[in-house]
Amino acid sequence: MNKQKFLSNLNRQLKGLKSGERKKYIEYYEEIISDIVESGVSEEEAIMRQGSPEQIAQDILSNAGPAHLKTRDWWGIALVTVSVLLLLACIVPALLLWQFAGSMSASLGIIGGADGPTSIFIAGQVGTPWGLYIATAIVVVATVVHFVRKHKK
Amino acid sequence: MDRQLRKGLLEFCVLAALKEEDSYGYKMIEDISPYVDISESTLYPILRRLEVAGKVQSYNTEHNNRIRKYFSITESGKCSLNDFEKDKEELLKILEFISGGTQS
Repeated sequence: MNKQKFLSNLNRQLKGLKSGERKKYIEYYEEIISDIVESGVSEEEAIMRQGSPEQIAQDILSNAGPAHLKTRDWWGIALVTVSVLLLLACIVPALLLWQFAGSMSASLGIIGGADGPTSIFIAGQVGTPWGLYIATAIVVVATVVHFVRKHKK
Repeated sequence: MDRQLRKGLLEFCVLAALKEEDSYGYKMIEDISPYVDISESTLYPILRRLEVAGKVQSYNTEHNNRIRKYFSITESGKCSLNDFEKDKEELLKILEFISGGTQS
């Protein structure tokens, strides 16, 4: 097993750990193995000394405090769900309308060319739902901010 | 050595290894292992614990085109070491009591 394989294996075994914490462990093992190799030991031997990634991960996880373990991010899940629903609510009617408008362009043209009250009526029907767009924008931005902050921690 | 006992002592060993100068993972293991059995996988959780408790600090330096993480002892860490020094007498008494107890 080479170093890269050992580290990626360990990384996988540590998936129960928060990403920042997991990264610290991977960097530590990367440094230690490089240092052992630099002292004149083969990479293979240096990795052998560490024991199996499964065993290491088990030790780390059993000693990790609750603050370092991954918890389910309910806020994140809720934000992503609402974002997706709102985006669908924005896109689907627009797509339908676009398709509808494509096939019905002729008749729409006729209606569009009709007298005043009719055109106002149509404008009211297909008027841009600004409220929906603004709400969607806010939720999407909130979601992005949430994940950026979480990643920084 | 008993696992629990060693675990408690190792924290002080790590602090002691940093008392004179800043050090990094591999060197600390080299320095400590002649006295206590310490492996790579036991050292790091101790360092993390000490770091979270504010007893050691870490910083990165470059070594041979790679990053090497150095650790240094903080004032609070030095206090812990001093406290341990004070506890030594008590500890020796306990040890005496334990070994006296097994002899009789």
